[in-house]
Amino acid sequence: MGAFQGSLTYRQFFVRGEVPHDFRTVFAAQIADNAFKDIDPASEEERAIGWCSPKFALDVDLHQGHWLYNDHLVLGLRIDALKVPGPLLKLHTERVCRETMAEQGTDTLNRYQKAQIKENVKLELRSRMLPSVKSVDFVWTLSTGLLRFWSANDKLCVEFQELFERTFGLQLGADTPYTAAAFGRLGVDESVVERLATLEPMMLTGEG
Amino acid sequence: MDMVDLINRTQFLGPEFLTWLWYRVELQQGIFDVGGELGAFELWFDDRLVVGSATMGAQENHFKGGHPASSAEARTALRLGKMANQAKLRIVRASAEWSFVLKDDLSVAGVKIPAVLGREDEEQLDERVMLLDQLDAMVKGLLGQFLALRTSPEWQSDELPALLAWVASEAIA
Repeated sequence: MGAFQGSLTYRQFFVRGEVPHDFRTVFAAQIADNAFKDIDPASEEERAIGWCSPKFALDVDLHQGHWLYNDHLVLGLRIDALKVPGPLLKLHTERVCRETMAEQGTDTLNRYQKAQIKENVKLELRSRMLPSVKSVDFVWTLSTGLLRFWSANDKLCVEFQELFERTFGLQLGADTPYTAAAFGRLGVDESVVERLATLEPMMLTGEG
Repeated sequence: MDMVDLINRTQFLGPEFLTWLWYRVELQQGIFDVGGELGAFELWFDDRLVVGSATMGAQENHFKGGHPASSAEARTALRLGKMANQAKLRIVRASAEWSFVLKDDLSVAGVKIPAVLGREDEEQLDERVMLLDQLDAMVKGLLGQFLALRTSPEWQSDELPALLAWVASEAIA
């Protein structure tokens, strides 16, 4: 959601560092390396993140036409989750336990057998489920270094920040009153930035 | 101090900025001028306002509907030492209008921008980003004014006493 249409809820970041002059080539390889990869249902993995097309989340073959729009680098952060709901797992595990006991003509199963059944049921259910898919866009204006990520969710912002820095080798600074001043986004003097670090909070009740 | 420490240490500037803006809107009848290409514009607090205090636990007051910024209830919350944590704002510049919720961490939500006219994807993206950049420039212009004032001697001698007098006064509505 975000870049081309939809709601406008976002958090801003400042990209720190130089964009390489041959960024089209460099970024293409880095983006491809960190493109979204499907969760393997046979694995234990329950969540996966990676880059996708901002126009179609299932498209992860990211050539340059997918992510470069004039002065803007735009990508979707795709987040898939494949998790068997606990009550569903419990129900189907119970079903298979009952079938197994009936086949074996016994009244009980030992702890090992139950654990094995649960694991098999989990794998079977995972292979039949489709993951939930979510994508959140970011728009990075290369000439200004200003980046907007279309979510204000703290956890997602941290995950985004980590993947961005790993992909592009550039640091992301959060847009806060201090960083906006320190990174020259407010047009205030250096002396203002220095004094910010020494300020104490104001008290509206009058005692401060 | 490293950057993370400095960001954490100055977190209080977010609620202070929003609260100062609230005061200034009433003082200046919503007229601001950040200079440069943007120049003058009108800014108003709209129908949503959240006030709270980090030192008072998670207690927050959510005001919705009407015009909470000029309500006696919201002013009372300030007198208890709370500050604005988020507010729905409206900016009008020339014939263009932006509506958005500004939070004290500077994140924005539910932004409504002036109509985008482009038909192609790239045109629409350029226009959306340009309109968000303008919004950001206006907010940052105000933040710059606040921080310059906040770190100046005039803060203690003039601005803070006037702000405290406003907090102590009765709301208009």
